[in-house]
Amino acid sequence: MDPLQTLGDQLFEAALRNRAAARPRRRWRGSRPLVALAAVLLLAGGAAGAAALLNSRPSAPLFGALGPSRYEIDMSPYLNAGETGWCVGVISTEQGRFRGWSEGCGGAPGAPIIAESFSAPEAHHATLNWAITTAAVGAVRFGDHVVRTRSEARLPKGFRAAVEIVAPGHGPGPGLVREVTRTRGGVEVRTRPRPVEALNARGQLIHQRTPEKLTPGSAPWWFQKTVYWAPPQPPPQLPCSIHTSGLPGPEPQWGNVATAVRAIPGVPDSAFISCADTEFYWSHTPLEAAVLLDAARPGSEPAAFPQMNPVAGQPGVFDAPGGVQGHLTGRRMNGAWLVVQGAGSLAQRLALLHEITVLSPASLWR
Amino acid sequence: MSDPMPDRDLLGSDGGAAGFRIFYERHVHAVVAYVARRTDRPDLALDLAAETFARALEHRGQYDPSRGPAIAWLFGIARNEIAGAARRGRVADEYRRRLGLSAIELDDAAAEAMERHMRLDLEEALAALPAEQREAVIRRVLAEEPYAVIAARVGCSEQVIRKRVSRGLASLRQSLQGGE
Repeated sequence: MDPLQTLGDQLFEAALRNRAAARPRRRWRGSRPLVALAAVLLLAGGAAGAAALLNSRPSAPLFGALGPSRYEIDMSPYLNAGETGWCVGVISTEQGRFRGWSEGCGGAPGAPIIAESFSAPEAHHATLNWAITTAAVGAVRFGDHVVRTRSEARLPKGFRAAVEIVAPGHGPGPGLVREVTRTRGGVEVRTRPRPVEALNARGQLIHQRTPEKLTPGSAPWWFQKTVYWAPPQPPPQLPCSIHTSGLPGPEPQWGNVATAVRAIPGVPDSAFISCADTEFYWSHTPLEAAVLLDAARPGSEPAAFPQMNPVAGQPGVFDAPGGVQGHLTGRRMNGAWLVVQGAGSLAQRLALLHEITVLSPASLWR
Repeated sequence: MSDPMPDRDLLGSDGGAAGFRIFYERHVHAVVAYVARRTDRPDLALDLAAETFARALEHRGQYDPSRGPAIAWLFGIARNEIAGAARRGRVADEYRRRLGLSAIELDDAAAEAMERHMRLDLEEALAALPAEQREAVIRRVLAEEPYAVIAARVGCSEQVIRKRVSRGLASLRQSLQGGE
């Protein structure tokens, strides 16, 4: 029998039983001792920071075993035009076979934690908690556990990571934060689970700014204005526009081009900003081309990619693992990186990289 | 021909079990095609789809049509399930257990049937969309960019983006169901 039919039957019966939504969502619950402990820690102030580091544990590597599976955490530049930041992905494999992935891109520049994942412990399976941070972060708090950050070759310069493999049934408790709110009737005290927090080298909290709320028509403060185009229109005549001369195979689907570029303050030296991106399909394989500039000093030579290596027989061309997004192949041009990323073959990426041209990205910031 | 019953009605209290069945059949192929982009194993794809719909059934009251089409809501649930599975190294079964669904064993014939469902090519279906809808769907549903950001990037209003996403998803669903 078709398994989707079986599943449909089971769901129908479950809906008939009308048990849906009968139970509350699983939440962290604070026990009295934990509430008391949290209150003591908060009252203790600075001493709590030192205590946090004293009881901290070292980070696991960015790749390794997780029960019967293997995990790999990777970073690659965010290629969307007008954006800065990174895509952070987690790939899971079992016995060499791809099992799944998760990924997120972007985030506010300068935030101490640029990406993280913290899940409730499982009774029978190991879980993975992780955070990618800036260099200012010495440790990361996942609930009641504090994990010291480490640097790794697969991270861009200026970034660190805290990774914790949680054995079944031994996960970090939620930790609790006490919130005191003044009301007309006096004060209201509530406790809530502690979010993932960044600590400095002395164990003190580094505040993570709440993401700004976007109103209709607004964009994040770091976003650079871009122009959208799609065939049959040609790319706009802007300094950063990506053009092709008609190589058979890759077909442009759409693109975005920045009309101007301004420096973004407070980002690590290795940060990029994309001034153009174009999505190509090559026999149904998506490939993205982009022009990357140094985010802090547009026009100066942008940083290297993590783990990039020269491509044999291709002077000036480099290839780097791009994690979930696929390999990243690039060449330098006049204060910028011209890159192609995707799941296609190296030959496809090279062919597209040599095919595309950019008018004059340097004039964007001069 | 009358208009099909809207998803919000199928998920609402009036829809009942029959409503959810229609909702499931309307969207299951798109969800399977979506999870098949992340795994080539039929058993995992089935588990992910099952947990996605079990969770949707449990939380059907939370579907808010003003935040986007139901398929986008389902893709969001599936995306979370995939992310959780990658972290834990296995697909969660919390909602299936809660609803009392039993595990579906895949014998050779069932695995083959599942593989056929997984071969429905989401990329191909996306490629067949008009470019503007394709970009809107990819950015909003697959990359989860806020409407405001997409609107700013593309240079049009949020309403226009919402319309493109909605139309794109409707076409996508039809194409994955083999409809016209």
